[in-house]
Amino acid sequence: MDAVKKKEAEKTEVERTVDKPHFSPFVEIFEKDNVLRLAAELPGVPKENLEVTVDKGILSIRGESALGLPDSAKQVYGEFGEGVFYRAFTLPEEYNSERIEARLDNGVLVVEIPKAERAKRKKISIQ
Amino acid sequence: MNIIPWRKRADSMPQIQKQINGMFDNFLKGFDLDVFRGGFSPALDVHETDEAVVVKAEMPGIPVEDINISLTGDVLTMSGEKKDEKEEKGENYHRIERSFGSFSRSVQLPPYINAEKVDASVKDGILTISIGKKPEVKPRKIEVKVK
Repeated sequence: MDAVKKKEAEKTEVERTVDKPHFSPFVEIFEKDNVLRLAAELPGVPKENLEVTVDKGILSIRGESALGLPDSAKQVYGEFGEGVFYRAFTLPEEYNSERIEARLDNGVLVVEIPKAERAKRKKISIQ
Repeated sequence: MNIIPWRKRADSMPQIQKQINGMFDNFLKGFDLDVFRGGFSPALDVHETDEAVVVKAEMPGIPVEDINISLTGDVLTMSGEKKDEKEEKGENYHRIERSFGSFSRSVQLPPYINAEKVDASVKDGILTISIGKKPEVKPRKIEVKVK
């Protein structure tokens, strides 16, 4: 099911239009018990640097990591994904974007989107 | 140019296949990288200040109690396990990019570190280990008078 797709424009082949370094966080999306859950690994991103929005059925996460070195520090070795990031996903229509919950815990952002009542599978009893 | 008569040799192809496979096996033997295992390996960042050598590692979603840190001589090792808490049943996956599993990374530190002064903390999924320097290597400012 390709209900959730990475926005095409976010491919790394495109030219950079921001003057800051950027990275693409790892994301996991799965559905369980009528809830669509997105987990993104955002180490070094404090809550205040993170923005989660839903607009016209597109869920986007954007922000910036805060790993600024003290002035006197000298970088010796670096592998961190630093800078700004942006990822967007289309939400299937049967999900209720009014009741989205998000939390950031130990560097992992979890967004939970419940399925709309009308889209839930109902079992009809036979008289 | 000589014309060489073509003779069917039933065993020639498997022989070449075997040699090629052997080349790859020998080539990859020297590597012990996570790329070939597909597990989790935290990204590292190291910086140095006047007071300390600071090693940072990305550990998103790993509780503090699952992280082990040891310093043997001048080699700092961070190891542990990034556990996947999800059950396999009843879930419908759309995208899987995160990786899980046990990890171990070691960093050789400069010889002037002070093993008695090591601090570690975790914030926003980043493990920060600060290792103090021996006092004699801290930069000192010496005023020199010109006569």
